[in-house]
Amino acid sequence: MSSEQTAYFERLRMHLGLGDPVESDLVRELASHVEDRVGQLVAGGTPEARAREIAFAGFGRPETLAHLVRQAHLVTPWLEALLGAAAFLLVGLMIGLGLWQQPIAAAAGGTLVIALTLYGLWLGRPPWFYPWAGIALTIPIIVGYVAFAVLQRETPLLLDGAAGPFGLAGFAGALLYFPVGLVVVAAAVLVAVRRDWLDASVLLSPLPCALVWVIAIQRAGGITSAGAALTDTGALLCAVYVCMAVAALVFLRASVRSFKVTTLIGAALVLVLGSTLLLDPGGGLVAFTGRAALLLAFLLSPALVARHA
Amino acid sequence: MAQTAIDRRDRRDEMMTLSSYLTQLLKGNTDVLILSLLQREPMYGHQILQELEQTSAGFFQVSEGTLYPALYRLAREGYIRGKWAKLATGQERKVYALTKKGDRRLGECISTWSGFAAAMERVTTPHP
Repeated sequence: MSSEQTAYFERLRMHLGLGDPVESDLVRELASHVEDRVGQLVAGGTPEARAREIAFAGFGRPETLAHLVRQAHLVTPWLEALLGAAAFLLVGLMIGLGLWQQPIAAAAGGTLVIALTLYGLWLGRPPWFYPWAGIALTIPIIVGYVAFAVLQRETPLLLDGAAGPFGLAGFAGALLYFPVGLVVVAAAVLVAVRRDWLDASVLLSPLPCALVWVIAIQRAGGITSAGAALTDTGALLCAVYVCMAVAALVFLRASVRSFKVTTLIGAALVLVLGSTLLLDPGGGLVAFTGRAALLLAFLLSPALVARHA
Repeated sequence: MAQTAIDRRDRRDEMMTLSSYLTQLLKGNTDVLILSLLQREPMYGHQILQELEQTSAGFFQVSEGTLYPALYRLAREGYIRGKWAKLATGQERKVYALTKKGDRRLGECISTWSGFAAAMERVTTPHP
């Protein structure tokens, strides 16, 4: 490959952001096209250097070509879009049917989420990967909740000097968990932002749902005794997750970026409505608006990160 | 003298408008052209451009910057499928083939196009 060719493809890849497997395949294909075109022009009497210039002129500026290729990749095939939406549907069903309280079902669900996330990672992060990775990131929230429960239980014992060695270890672990969890989420978002901030927003979208769920569990008496008290809450949360699944499907199938952003905002508003009905039904318009603003700022924050990255 | 310059400029503007009209027509039909060629036989990118130019006697000159995004879009939508294959020359090329879905889509597009062309013909043909 000539140095001009290398420079062109490097610039192209810089603006593509589609992941290594897709980009390598694309560059391989375009390089073979250049080879064919140059061969054709040289056979027609054009000097090789000029033939190469003509061949690259056909592609246009690498930035423009990258933009057009990215546009072409905005639409996710139906099957992949359904797979992406299935992440929210799975959690919705687990909450709605109370399966999260059955250890085997909960473990099977968690394993499926982690397995599909790792598989997506191995495939080079296709669009369906982000909802699954987002759900996988909610696992630290659940663990964080358990850590919070440990802190709540052990702190008074520790202050009285009555904590045992297991209590001390649990306290230290729980204390360490929060910064580590934050670093994990921040790192995942930063990696996603490098490709497209919208992917990072999708990655973040399940986190507020999980937070609402955890608050609901805490209000219903904690993770071990929340069961029966969460029947109505579970139904509403299940409905929110089903709405999120529909939003994910629409988002992945949308071919225009502005429509994707609108879908994301719409899904956020459904979540705010659901969380208000669940946690603070008499909160009033100001509280609702505040919550909506906070959630939108959280979900759209990757755009700011991308701008400064 | 001044009138000639104005006429020349008007003519140039007219040509540019016509060229833009043709570009728009081509842009709206690139997918159908690609699908039609792939219905004949599976082809790779450079081959598609060559076939398009030869079959249309040089009328359709699609640039690489238009072709490849269109190929990727059609592949994403499931109308065509690209696969690396070894040619008789020993070189490897990504060869695109029409899928069943693409074949159906092409049939629909051609039918719409036929209706459109017939209607255009009826409207643009001067009355005797």
